[in-house]
Amino acid sequence: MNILERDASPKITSLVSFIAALFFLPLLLFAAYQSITLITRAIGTPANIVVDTKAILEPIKTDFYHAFAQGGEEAEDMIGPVLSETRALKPKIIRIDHIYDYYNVVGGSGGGMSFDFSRLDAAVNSILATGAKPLLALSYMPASIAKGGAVINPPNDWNDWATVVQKTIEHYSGKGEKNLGGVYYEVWNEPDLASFGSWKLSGEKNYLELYKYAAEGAKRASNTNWFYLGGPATTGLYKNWIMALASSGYRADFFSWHSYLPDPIRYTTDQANFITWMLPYPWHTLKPTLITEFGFTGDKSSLYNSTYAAAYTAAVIRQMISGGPAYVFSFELKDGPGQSNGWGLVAHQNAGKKPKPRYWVYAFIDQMAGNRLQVTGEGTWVTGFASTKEKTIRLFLVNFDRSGSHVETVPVKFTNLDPGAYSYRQHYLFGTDTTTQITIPDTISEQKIYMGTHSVVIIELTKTD
Amino acid sequence: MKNVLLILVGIILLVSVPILVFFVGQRQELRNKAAPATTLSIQPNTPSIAVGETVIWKIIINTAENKVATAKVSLIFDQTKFEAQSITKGALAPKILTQGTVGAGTATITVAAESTTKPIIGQGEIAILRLKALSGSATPVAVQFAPDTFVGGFGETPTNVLTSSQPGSVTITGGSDLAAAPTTSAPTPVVSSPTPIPTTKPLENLVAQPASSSALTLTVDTEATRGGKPVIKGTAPVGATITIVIHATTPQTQVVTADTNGKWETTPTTALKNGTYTVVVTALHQTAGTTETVSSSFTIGGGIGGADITEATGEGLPESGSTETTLVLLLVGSLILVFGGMTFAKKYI
Repeated sequence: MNILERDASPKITSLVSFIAALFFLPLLLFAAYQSITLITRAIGTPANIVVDTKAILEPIKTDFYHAFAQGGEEAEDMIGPVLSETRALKPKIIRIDHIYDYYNVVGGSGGGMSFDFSRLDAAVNSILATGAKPLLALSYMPASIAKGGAVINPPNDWNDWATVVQKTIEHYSGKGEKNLGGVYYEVWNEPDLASFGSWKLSGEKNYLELYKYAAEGAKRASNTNWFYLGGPATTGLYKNWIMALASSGYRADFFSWHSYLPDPIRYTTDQANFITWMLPYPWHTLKPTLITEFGFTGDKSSLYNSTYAAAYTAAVIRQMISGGPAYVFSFELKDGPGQSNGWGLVAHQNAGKKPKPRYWVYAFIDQMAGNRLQVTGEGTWVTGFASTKEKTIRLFLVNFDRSGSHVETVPVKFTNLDPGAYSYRQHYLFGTDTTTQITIPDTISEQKIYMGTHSVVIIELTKTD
Repeated sequence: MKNVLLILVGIILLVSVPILVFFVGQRQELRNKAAPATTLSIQPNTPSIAVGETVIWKIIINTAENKVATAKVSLIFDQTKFEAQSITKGALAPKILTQGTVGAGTATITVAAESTTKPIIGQGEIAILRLKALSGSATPVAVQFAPDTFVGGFGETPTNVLTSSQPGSVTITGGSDLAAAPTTSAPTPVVSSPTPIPTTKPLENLVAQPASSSALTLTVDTEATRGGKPVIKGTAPVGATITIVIHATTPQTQVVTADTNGKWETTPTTALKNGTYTVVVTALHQTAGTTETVSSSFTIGGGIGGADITEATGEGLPESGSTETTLVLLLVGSLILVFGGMTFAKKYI
């Protein structure tokens, strides 16, 4: 008999037991859920990689991941202070949003509207100085034309919004003005998110109406170079948004969405889903798809400062190395001021502009340029792809584990090799880089590759005779 | 004078015949253009392979007169006979839209044209599949197209311009399963009948084969629609496995079997909203092992009771007569005219 049963009445004992059960039962259920999650994550298939060095597939694209987005951490040109760090990333395209509410572009309304692009020009000029072209997210509503002056609201007069878009396109794509070719204009940013207006596909805040008048403005823009207009830039790939835009009949030169997905495989699934939805619209299937922000979480996280983010990015690029979108934009280029757990690839200039691990992934994967080779035996955590270029065969492997602890020793076999002398290089991102000379007497070479937590490696075989 | 006139009439008639034939030919060409028929076929690089070896399969498209934007190539095979290695694009398809994925008994890739101004046209490889042979077979083992294979054409209604597909097959030598013929395992749950073993045909025969020689027909009866569920029915060879895919926002797929009278019928499981839809029907012929596809568009919500009834057959638009018959009749007619004219001229001029 315990102290409670001895000193208290049976009624009190029952009551206390009941309250204790009420308190502990949810905790028990939570613990059981966490245990199941961990066990599930621990179950998977180890990799057993076989590279057929004579099974040549298609050429590998290395442009699509040289795309970067900068969020609105500060209401000024954020690229300028990290210009050299950004240029070293060899960006092809850089996206910025908040172009109307941060840079005081628009004044007045109706017939009294005025435009001053000087502050936005500074940001765009910085983008151009990195060697990239800009993607401008047409956001948010200029306060001077917005209902109630709120930048996430519709305008008082939709024609004013069309005029704003027209003037923006004419300023940057106009042959008589900035004269830029191939600029992407994306209608809004994350319209479905409450912070950016919680737009719907009907009602007063109808994204399709917002888009319609943006397309009207694009139509009015005259004497311009070719440009792209698209959307919907939602927080994820949502069928109803994509299909609504695809079937709207409005000009849509590209389709875009954001992907904050913990599992890299989902990027493959999303791309396949998008194409499946578009099959009845063959002309849409040929249009570029853009993931204009991506990451493992949309929240700020200290993991963005770690090799976790680097391995995640490498694993996502592996998933899209064949048949992926035209561009996937890593979010974001630079932390905001005072952020210690921001999304940035580099720290803010006030914090020393130090590159984080993810920063080094892009150039590392660039080494894989060439023709893709057939790889079989990818596992749950270790994935990869191979390429051949001139005399060198390369295998890229990444170990990404969502729970962050998996390690694996991976059997790797190269088949159908030409016998002879080879230079064998094993180069870990953030690790050792060793080269040895080996002789391969027959057509097969086998190794065991240790893949530590969130490790990324390239194995090179170069024929030397 | 009589002779001159006679010769003149003869010359006029002789000249008019080739001109007439030319214009008939043009007309025939236009008719063919009005009934484009894109086909897919599978060609292995060898008629037989040994267990453990890899066979390379070329996926061949013949677009006929169509301008193709996108092709989703979905393949099925016996996973006890083959292990999928890879699938990639072929030379005629410059873009990959969704990366090639291979699994147990399946391989899929979606390829596309360069742009709307550079569509896929003509005949050639759009995909390449590599399979490793796992066990021997006394009879050829097939690789065939799954029902969700789709070829999207520009400016065509319905957008799926694929009218027929031909499987490919190889004999696997060696191994311990040689006595276990015919193959009996099903390649996928969709095709739940025994795996058909088609006769291996050379590529030229596969590609040049007419789009359809059977009775696969499709009728979408929206007259009977109540609540967005039209009756989709048709005919096919007895026992054929019919896969019906309705391309809506959420595609609906159903599998039925042609009855003893060769009839089949189904309705969507989920009611369709107002709008225009494409339905693609694929018949797997149990004995021949071939597949055949027809498609059609229909509209829901065209009025009270929905009066739109659309029909399609595997032969596209019906053609009256053929080029050969027309030419023979023209020649016979011309000869009658020439000799008749000459007789008339001799008698009366």
